Amino acid sequence: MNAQLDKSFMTEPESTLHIEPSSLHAASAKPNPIVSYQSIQKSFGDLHVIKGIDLDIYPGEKIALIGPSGSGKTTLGRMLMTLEEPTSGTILIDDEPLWQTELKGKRIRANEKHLRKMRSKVGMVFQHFNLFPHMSVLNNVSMAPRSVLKLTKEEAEEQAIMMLRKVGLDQKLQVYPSQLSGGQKQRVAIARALVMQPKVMVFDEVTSALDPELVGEVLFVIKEIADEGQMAMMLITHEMEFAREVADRVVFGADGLIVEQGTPEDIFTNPQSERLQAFLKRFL
Amino acid sequence: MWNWDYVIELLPVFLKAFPVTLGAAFLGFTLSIVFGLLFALAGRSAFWPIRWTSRAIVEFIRSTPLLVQVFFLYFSVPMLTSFAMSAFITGVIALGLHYGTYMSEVFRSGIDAVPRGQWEAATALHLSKRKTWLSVILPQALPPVVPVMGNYLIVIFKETPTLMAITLVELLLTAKTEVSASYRVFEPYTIVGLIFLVVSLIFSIGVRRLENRLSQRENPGGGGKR
Amino acid sequence: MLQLNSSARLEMNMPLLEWLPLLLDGTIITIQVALLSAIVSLLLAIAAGLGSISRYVFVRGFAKGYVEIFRACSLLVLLFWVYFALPFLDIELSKLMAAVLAIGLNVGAYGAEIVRSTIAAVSKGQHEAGIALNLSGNKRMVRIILPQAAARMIPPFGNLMIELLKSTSLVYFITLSDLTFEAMILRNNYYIWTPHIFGLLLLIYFVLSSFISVTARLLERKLTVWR
Repeated sequence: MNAQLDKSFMTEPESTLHIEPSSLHAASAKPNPIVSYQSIQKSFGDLHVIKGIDLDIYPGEKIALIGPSGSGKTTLGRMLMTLEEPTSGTILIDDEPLWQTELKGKRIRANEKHLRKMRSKVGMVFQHFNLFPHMSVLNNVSMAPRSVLKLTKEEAEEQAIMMLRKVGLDQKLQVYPSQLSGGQKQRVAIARALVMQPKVMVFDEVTSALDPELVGEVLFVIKEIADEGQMAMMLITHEMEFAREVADRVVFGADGLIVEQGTPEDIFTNPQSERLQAFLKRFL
Repeated sequence: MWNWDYVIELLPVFLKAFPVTLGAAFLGFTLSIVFGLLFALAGRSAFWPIRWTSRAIVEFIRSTPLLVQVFFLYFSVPMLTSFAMSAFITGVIALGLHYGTYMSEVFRSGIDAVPRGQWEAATALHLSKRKTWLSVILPQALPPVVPVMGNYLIVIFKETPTLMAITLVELLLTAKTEVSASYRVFEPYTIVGLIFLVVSLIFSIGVRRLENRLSQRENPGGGGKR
Repeated sequence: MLQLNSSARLEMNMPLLEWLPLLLDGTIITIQVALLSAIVSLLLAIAAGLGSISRYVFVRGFAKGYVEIFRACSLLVLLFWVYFALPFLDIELSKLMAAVLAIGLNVGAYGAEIVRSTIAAVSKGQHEAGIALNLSGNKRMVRIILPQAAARMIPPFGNLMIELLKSTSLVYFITLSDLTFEAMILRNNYYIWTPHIFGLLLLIYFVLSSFISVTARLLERKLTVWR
């Protein structure tokens, strides 16, 4: 059923059925956030990476997380994808706790079944692509729809090809990842994540491992996806120009805390905190 | 069914055979290091006939069973050369040759792990070939592979029973002799099995300690896992 | 059959044709033992290799215990124990079964280490990509991790199978009529040809080993078309 819905959307990408996200949270009747981090802390051994973060992301909203390396941006994204478990605090997705589940009225640590249910709403694109080297491009993109969404081979491949067309790689279906450039690999990885129709997608420094001349093609694809509107995006990035262009809201974090957030205009032209001013100075 | 009195009777007998097993293992190990170095160096010779011959010999020895090599050395060499060796000497040479081919592979990985700059520095200092090998390359190539060599000591130790085929009176042949004298099978073979098990486990704990010590001392360099 | 006039005999041609039937019988037995113990050892290697990364402590402990103990065992002693001592526990095995069990147990322990270490060598990012696509734990293992690990397993497993082939010669000690055993019989009957017989024996083993390494190389090429 899910697939049915999304198919209809995909055949008319220009559809304006979806409300523009910016108008969404400008309105007084705010919808519930799709993602809500509530007093999240995370330690790795003695290292206290995230020291108490509250952050809501609304349906369709594009959030850019910027900040110096080591500020915990990536950890925040990885926690949403269930790759790390918060040390304390709650993450809600669609008002449902990600890491806890109810059993006989008691809250217990989420089991794999609960995590899998929650994961279906989240997707992620990695810094190092993590394509499956032993599968062709087409298989990379179509394998999860087949084995997770239980689509038939034909349906899965049809959707995969559609996504690959969107990222401009439908000419490379039978090619193995080792024969692709870094930029092409990352575009396949984006198609692979998109085809699962997540409600929110984490882009974890997706251009950091690329040669400078390949960054543009990847950012272009992400921008196009962002313009379609309906999926919330969490862009962890060092590309300030890109953040400014794509994001509805920019969140600046440092030392495991959110220091400042606001519209791209506020953050880039009128930074309030000294930390942010110093940080931006190094980029501009 | 397990007779402790018989076990106590057996222990001194095995105690006598144990040094033979250990001796063959240690001497075979020592010889395998010598052969291993020779094979490794010959395998890198600039003169291709030496290089190819050495590699072919290594390939052939590695591809054929130790037992057959032992037979060949013990029964054929005297007929071909009128030069006979004792079972012990034959066994040690066979172990040394056979595991020398494995050892050469270990040394090769160690030598390959020495950075190219070291060779270039030796050339820049006008060191002789001999000097380069002895004071620059080998001192860096060998320490990282010591644990892997240790593993081969264990392997060689476990292979010594093969030498009973040429009547070397080591632990297993001793047990077999006891069995045919007493008709009690279970105790002698079980005891020999336990001796090998315990000694191997003790050796491997030692090797693991060595490994940890080496890996704590900065990068361990190349050593194949085995 | 004792040859008194050996110099006269040596001038004759090597009676290879007379040896062939026996050597052929021996080769068939050797291949039979090797194939059967290869199957046993591969099954054990996969079971213990996967077991040693199981999430259940009990399974992990069992797998690691098996690997530690049987790697520390001397194969020939194990073979003697299985064939001669086990009957005293009322477990009587045929020569072939004893050989296959002993070799399989021993080689399987080494194979388990190959399985474990090649799985561990697949990068963490591959697991994470599987999680991000919401694949189940089993699917991640079967579809993503194992195919990549399998490609890395082939070369070390090829070497291990050569070790296995070589170790089949030990069945000579329990008088299973393999190649080595038949060669020893030939040697009794054609004493003066001893060096030739053993030379031939070494050559046959070398050919069999080469067959294994060629197979391994072809298999590796097939499993790594994506590289």
